[in-house]
Amino acid sequence: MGPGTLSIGEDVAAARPGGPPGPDRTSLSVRGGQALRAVLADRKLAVPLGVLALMVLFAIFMPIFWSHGPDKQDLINSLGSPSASHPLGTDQLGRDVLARVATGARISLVVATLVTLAGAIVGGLIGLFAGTLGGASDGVVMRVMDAILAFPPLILAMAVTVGLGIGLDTAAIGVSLVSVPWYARLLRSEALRIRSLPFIEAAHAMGATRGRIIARHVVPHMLPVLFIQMAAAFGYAVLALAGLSFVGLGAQVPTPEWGAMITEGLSYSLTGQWWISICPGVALLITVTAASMLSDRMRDLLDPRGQYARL
Amino acid sequence: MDELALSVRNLSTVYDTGGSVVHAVRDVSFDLRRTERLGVVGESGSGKSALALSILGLIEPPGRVVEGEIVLGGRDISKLSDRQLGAVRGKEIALVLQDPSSALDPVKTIGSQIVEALTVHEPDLRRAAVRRRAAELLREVDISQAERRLDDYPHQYSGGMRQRVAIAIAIANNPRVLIADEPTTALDVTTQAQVLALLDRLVDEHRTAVILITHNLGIVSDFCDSVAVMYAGRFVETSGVDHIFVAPTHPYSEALLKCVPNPERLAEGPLPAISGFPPDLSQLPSGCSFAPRCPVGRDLPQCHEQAPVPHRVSGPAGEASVECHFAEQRIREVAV
Repeated sequence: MGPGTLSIGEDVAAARPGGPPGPDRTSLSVRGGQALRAVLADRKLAVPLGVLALMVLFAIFMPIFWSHGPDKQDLINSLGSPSASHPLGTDQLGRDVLARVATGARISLVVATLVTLAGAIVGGLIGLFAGTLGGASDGVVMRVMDAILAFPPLILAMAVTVGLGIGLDTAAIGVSLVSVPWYARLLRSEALRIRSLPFIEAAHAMGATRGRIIARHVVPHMLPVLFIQMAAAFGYAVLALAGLSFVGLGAQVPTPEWGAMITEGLSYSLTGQWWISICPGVALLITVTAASMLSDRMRDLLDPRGQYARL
Repeated sequence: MDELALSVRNLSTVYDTGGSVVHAVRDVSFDLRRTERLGVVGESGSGKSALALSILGLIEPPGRVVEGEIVLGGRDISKLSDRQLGAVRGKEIALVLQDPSSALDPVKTIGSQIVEALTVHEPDLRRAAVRRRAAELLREVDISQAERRLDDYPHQYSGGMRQRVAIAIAIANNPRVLIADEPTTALDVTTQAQVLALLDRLVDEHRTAVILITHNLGIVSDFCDSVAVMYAGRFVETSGVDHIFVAPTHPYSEALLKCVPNPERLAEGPLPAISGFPPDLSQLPSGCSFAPRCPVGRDLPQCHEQAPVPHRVSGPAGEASVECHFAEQRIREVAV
């Protein structure tokens, strides 16, 4: 049989008896609706997302519409137990605990988001370049990351905070720094994995430059793992910031930060005024648990290395 | 004689893995004329893929091309920088990989990947024009409703269709030379034939020279004009395609040919196999690398001590270049 006698068949029809499916010729909003429905149908995903969404709404709107300000003192009504006018009671200076918890939610969510973004950008870029460049720069950068990992995270964050001067901003810098090596290590290994996939070689053979391949073919494949790590890091950031404030290294009195509020109310818990500490503590618990559930479920759905449940 | 599309001289590639040095390609030279189709056959690990990557300058550390000239269209591309090579890859010389399911980026649409192949080399093209060209390419590789299927993702294509897309990407810039590294190995037999027929038609139309890497001699006989048998990183026998099937001169070529299933020889018992294993490419024997497995030279001191030089021989089905001490003797036996 010579080349000329070979015949061209049609495997399209064989592969797709119902005709080619083609892309969904649907508008973006319809596709968005489909995505939303898929998320809502997955309870393990919808519950933590819903809780976090409620927490965000609470943080945005509660301080606007609630009549009591977070710093408004009312010494006559100090240490008041939960009542109609103060649903979560008042603290030792008569400040409304609900207003303070809501303002604390603003602080926690905003600062934790900034910390997460900072860690993701710095750590992600370090991991990307270490993984794609390789060689000596990879070795040096990853040893520095290992050195950071050698410290217990919270102790290192404390050291940074003390070194730069106590405050919420320096606490945020400390927590960000601690999270950088986690991103760097994870994304470096992702970059190494993706770099060795055949379609990267195919892109090289096509004539694409290194930079183009990294931007168009490596980075998109790193995003799922980055998002999983960001969700986990967000919960950790909320907790670590509250922890630093709790020991007096983060937000300072009278800032209504959850950790600082817990410390302030601690002595009154012994005399029966539990709501001053417990209420910010519960808010903290809900937020951190939701973030951790979200990251667990995201890993189930997105992690390319594991065979987990699918949507 | 046609002009030369590609000329490779004394190409050697090693992988330096700290303790040992693996000689993947050893002093390979060959010429590829315009529209010629060269089949490179050999066992796994004989250096076929390393050869392809070496020509494209895609050997990754710890591997490196230690010497050799690669003249493509009159220009030696072996000394070019990676950036300069980028302008050559995909434009003048293209590669089709073995496994179509992993050779396409799963998170990009088929269309965007074909468009990328075009715009990498011609960044100034207008969007609409590129898209039209991409659809044309899909039509050229026999994908129906091309316009519509540009927006599909690779997972919506069958294996054969994905390989057609890979071929479309390879021919997008009308390259001088196309290297196909086992392009049909991952496909079922029917699809194999279709993809080969497509490749056959396209390289004919575009007047492209092809290096087809395969371990399937049947594909070589259907598709190729010339053939090179690769063993332990060297071309041990190079000839026109007829010669290898009529008068395989190197003992390895002969053994390889005997391993092809043939319904007419069913009565002769089970399919023969070549005894032993390919040599460790980091500890090559000093003489002929095939000597330890060779039915002719296994016990001859000459074969174990002295590496054979290429012998030009002329057989009943054309000339060949054979790296065997007994090439002349063996071709005479065949001719008789």
